[in-house]
Amino acid sequence: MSNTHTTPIVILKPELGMKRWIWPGIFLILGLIAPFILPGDKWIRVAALSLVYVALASGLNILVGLTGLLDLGFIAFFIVGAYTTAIFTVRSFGPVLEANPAALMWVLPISVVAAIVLAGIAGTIIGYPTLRARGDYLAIMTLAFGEIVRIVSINWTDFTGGAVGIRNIPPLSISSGMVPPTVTYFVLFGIVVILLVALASLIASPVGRAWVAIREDELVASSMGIRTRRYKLLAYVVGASTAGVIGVFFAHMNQFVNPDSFTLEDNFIVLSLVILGGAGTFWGPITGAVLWIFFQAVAKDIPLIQSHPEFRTGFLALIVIVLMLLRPGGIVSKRLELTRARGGALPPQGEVQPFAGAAPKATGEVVLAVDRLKQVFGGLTALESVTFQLRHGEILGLMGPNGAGKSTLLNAISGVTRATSGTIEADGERIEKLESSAVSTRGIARTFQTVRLFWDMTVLENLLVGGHTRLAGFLPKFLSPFPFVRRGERATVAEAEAVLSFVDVWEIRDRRASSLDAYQQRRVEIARALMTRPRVLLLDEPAAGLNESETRDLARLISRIREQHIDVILIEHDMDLLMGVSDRIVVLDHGVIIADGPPNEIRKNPAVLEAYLGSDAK
Amino acid sequence: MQEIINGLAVGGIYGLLAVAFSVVYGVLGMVNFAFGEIFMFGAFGALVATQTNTVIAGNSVPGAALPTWLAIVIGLVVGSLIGWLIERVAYRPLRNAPILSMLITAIAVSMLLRAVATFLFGAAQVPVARPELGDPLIILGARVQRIDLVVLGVAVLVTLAFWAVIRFTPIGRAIRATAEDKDAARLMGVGVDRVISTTFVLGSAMAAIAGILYSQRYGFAAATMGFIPALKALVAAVLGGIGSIPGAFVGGLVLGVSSPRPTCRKAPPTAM
Repeated sequence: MSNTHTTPIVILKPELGMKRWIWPGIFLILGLIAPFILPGDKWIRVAALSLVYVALASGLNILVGLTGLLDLGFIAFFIVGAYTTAIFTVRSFGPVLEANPAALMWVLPISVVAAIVLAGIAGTIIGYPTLRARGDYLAIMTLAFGEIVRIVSINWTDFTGGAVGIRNIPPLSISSGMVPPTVTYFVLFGIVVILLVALASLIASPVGRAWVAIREDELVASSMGIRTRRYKLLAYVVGASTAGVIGVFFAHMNQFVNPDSFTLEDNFIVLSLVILGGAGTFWGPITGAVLWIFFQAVAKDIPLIQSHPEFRTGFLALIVIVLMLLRPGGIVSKRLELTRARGGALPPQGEVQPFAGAAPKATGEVVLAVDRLKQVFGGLTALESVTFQLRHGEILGLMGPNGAGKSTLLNAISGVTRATSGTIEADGERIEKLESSAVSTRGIARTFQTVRLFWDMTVLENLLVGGHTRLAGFLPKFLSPFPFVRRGERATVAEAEAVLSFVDVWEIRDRRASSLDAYQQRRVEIARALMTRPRVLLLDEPAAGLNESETRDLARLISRIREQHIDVILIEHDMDLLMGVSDRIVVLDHGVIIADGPPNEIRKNPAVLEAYLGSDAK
Repeated sequence: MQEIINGLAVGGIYGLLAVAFSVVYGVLGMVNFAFGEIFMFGAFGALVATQTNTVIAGNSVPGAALPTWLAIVIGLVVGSLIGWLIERVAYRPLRNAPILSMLITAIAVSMLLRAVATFLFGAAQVPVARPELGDPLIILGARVQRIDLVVLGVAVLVTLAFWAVIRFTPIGRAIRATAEDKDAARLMGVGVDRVISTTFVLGSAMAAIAGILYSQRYGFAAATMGFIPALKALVAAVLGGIGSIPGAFVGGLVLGVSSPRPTCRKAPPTAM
């Protein structure tokens, strides 16, 4: 394989294992020694409260930071959790617990499960209608939802105790009598560590990558086979469940719940902590929460703030505004780890795995058939009536002047837009009504006219998103940190490395996508499309912005893709490239096919010449 | 009938605020959550200007004791000024930032303004002397408070005037062009930054008027008074099709009439 680069390429070593443990190590050590170095019970309570906010901020971070969905009613899920356990332990199991405090051992897990389920349901309820809404409508709807939950908690007196709330919630202890705050603290610490480990595992899995992919570019995420609506809903459910679980422990810590425990301001505070620490990072919201709760506790002793409690939220608001202007990333800028698998140290053989969904085709068999496809946008007819076929073993060139409808055709095939009429068949199956994630799983992959990578991810992570559908599965398994449940991930990383090697960018696999040059970006985009194991690859002007030698290299790459039994539809303005690699060319003009044949025929076709050069150019 | 007129008056207030949300949304594509607080500052601006003695940040300050009409102008100016300031300082640098950053900033601005107001005027409600307009009128057998008619009348007139500005003046044309396509407007020589500033000031003036009307009608002003009306106005703006002025206003009216017994609402809940 030839290397067209003149600059030396630094081969990055896989990241050392020890470095990963710095942040978790600091957190664990600080968390464990905190009760022994903090002066007095009051500060241990503050530390316990900061753990509550750590969990809340981490849960909201899933929505706001990772998936890019604003939720202004997040506290509602926390309320659901707190009331769930209050009703359980005081109403349902009150007498049992009174007789035998040790029964909390089995009542508490029931509360936690109930809280997860109920908060999850609440998350689904608020998430579902918002799936189609834009950011700002979403904000209003979640704000209103938060209010509804609060008002319900005030007015459903029989169930929630109304404004008085529910008192005498048993403390986190199995014996009766006073509970030292250290015990409560360590129970909370244990729970928060479990939650954080689960969330971190989830983030470094196909689920987390799907969320970030949706935030970065929803359209592309969908074209990688990610069912974006489902994953957005999942983000709500996961965020809600996290808040629900910590709500349970918050209720036991305080031993009472009432509507005043949660205000609208808390929604804003949790959101601010996420922003303050760094939305979309793992340790940012945690840092923000700890810093803020301790700051708040210190500030409580300052006389000025004692007489003006509004200074606290005002100050936080001011910090958020200044941060948004000067450092929108927040305090912590450590990149999110989206996979734990590390690649090998040597480049593997460059091979591409075949599409697994159907029997192999014989050369010349029809793979993709477009029949009388029509696409109308308002009053504009972009495609009049397009009929053509792609046969196995060929590279089909698609050419036409600007505005001829080439990209429209590609969008219709890949499910980005829905055709007005006509049919598209892939391997005998009608796909014209499918969404782009479904088209992707049928073995049709694409690239975009302007490169659309997930810029914030590394090259390898971009490719792993391409392998999403093979990795996705039963959600709870991704919550566990143990490596054995991630065998699939390692296999996919190996495959990704092979594909990267195939397009000759293996060396840069750990670089961030935004730091690549134009040709590297192109090749990574093609590699990501190949990671979906396509049968058909749609390339939309891959040579745009490339120099001559890069274009020649690209031509070789396209031919090699065909050798891997993948059929290619190539849109290109670079005539040398198009004529050079295509076996057959379809010419589109004003939404109609005006020519269809081998390159040398197309070159002489009078209709094509007229479309490109005008009628006088004979 | 009485209920309907009551509802229309409250609806007029929501409508004004909804128009403010709607117009700024049209131009900038963002929900300026801080309009609820501009609404509140408008009310306080007018309140402070009329009183002979005001308690500000715990200190007694001799007030200007200005006549009502001048006080209203001052409330309006205060509101517009704050609107101009927050656009200039907080929103303009984020023009090209993701929508999420703008929304979060808007919420933060709204919280900050509320905290400032709480510091200045306290957390409790401050009574507003309601104007003496005489006995209730009897219209079609219903007792109608005169203040309700004034509120509704002012709201309708202001909205009409605003609509006329947008429809018929050069700056209105520039606002519409900017709302349609910022880049194209810029290429056509429209000073987009100035247009957005103007839109903010106009919207803030509407919000301030709404706040003044609200405080006159209910007889109080409070740091948290803007929250519930803003939420309702947002709903109204969405109801009327966000971006449309008549739609937003009518949305406000509909919401006002359909809200249960608006006269019985003493005050929005203070715990927020």
